[in-house]
Amino acid sequence: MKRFVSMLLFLSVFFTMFASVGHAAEVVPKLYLNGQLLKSDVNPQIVNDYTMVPLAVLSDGMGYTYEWEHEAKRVTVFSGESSIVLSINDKTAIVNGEPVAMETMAQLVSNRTMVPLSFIGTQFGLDFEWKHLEKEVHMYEKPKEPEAPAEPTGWIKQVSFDGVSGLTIGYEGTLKADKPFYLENPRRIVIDFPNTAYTEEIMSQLVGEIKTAVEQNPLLASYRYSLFEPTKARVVIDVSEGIGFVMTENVGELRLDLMPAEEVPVDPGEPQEPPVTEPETPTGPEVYDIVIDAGHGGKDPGAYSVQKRYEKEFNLSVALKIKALLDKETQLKGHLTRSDDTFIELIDRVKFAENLKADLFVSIHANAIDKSSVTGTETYYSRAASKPFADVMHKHLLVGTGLKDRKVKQANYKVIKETTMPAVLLEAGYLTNQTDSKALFSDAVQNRIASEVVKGIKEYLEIK
Amino acid sequence: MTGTKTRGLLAFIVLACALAGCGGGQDKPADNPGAAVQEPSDEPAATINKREAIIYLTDAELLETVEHPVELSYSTDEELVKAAVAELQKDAGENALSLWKPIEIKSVKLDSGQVDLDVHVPDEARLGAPGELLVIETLQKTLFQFDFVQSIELLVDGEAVESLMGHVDLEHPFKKE
Repeated sequence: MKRFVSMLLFLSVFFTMFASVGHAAEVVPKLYLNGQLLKSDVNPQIVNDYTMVPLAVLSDGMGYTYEWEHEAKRVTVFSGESSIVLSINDKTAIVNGEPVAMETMAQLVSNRTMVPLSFIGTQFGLDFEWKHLEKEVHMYEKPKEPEAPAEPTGWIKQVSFDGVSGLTIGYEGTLKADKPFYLENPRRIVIDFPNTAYTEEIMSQLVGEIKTAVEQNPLLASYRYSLFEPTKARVVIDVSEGIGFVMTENVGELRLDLMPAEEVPVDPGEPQEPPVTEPETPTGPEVYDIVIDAGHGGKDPGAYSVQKRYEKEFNLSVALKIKALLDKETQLKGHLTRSDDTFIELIDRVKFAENLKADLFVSIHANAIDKSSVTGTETYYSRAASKPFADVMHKHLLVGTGLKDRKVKQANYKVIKETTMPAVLLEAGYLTNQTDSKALFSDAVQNRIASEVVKGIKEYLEIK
Repeated sequence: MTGTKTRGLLAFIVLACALAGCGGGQDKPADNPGAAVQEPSDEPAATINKREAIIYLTDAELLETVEHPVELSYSTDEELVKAAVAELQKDAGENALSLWKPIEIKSVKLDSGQVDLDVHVPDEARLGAPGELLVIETLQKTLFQFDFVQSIELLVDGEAVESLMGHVDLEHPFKKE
């Protein structure tokens, strides 16, 4: 008994000790450099949303050197000819002699100096990706170019956008792009051109950067270009969430075609762009996970039709038919949010798709309005990256329902807003309209809708 | 026999009216500035105010909100909110439809700048996704036009549910932007 009590005492002290380390210790992020897991004797920590690492990670893991000045409580980190000076509890860093404001700061945690990893890495030219679910920090080095800044060998003479999806960079001489990379907040694609400057005409206008806004385009908000270093040109595209690209080189010009990341063809010869795609299954053709979400269910019946039947029945019936068709496809795997008359919260539908890392999300609904004359088929998307998918699906859905075209529209319904893959919500027709309702509850029309939905998915994914 | 019953019913109605203060005559003096002075002094000073307000309805094709100006009578801020909600439930012509008409209002309260609105959604009131968006938008626009309304807590049968009609998530409460 006594032993038991002391054991309890020990345990409570034990837990208290952990508690005193603070909530920061709860999540231990894993660090990867170029895909290699970095080992660290002292765990990295997340402090106020920033990953903080002990200095040893910088030297042992990342290959930087540093000098710690004890009196001044100051550390200087070196990478090549670059340096960063961080003082404890000071939000201003000195990067190559220039003060730079940080959103976080170096600090002492349990008497150990912890420094903000992403700030240092970004300043030293690493690209970062934070995988929230896995709690992983991925860092990527850009390919190193010969250091000596030679005379430029290429001159960009024009950067232009075709108004749809193509950005063209015209040049003279030779142009060789570094591997493009992504930066966040705002999300952007960055392409550096070493040994490259601009033609005199552009140089005369170039103060800082030249920026062109692109209005009302789901792919990008603007593009800009600057001289990043005396002989390094940089082109930046401020893209929407989930946008990837294909780069093609022609004589005298380099072209970038923007598209939803899912549409970017995977080139097996190239190392993949880290943020664009998840690791692929190594063998066989790619299998896409498709979430089919039958709207409503259980205590939420959805709309009430003029035939005195509920929307939830229609949604489920069509979803099951779609699933049956997907089961026949080798490259498509269907997943249903519900396969019977169950109530599911919207947030759980979102989580379902996110946990699956689904490739596409299709929510099946039928419409209703307190006016029986309103009729027709609508397709909704929320995020701009879903628009191309919505366009394809709507075209097919119209064939499926055979009803009036009420167009593709944007609206922030929860399941299509908060999922991160291309997502659409189909409002097949109005159950409050006699004609629509009769059609939607007919087996033949439901079969046709299911078949067209699958055709739309295949067209979008370019599956034969 | 029938006569007695009718008389009893009449008496009940009169009594109920008196209790509820629904006698049209009592409200009338406020319309007439001369008569207002003669208001019985033993009544609590329930000043009847009037103000213009915009009630947000929807067009016949359910594509956008339509503004419908009305004059609302009220004595307290809470009554103003109630009057606006009541107007939100009325159509105002062919191209100004109320999506709130079939929704049952169980209670409306105003407390420290927050409107607590408890509703019941009968089956025939359940709309598709675009309709639900408009239901919420018209409520917000209508009530947030009043300076004193800072937030709206929309409850379904007393519960803070995730969604009113299964497409749009409800904020608990909706805050004025």
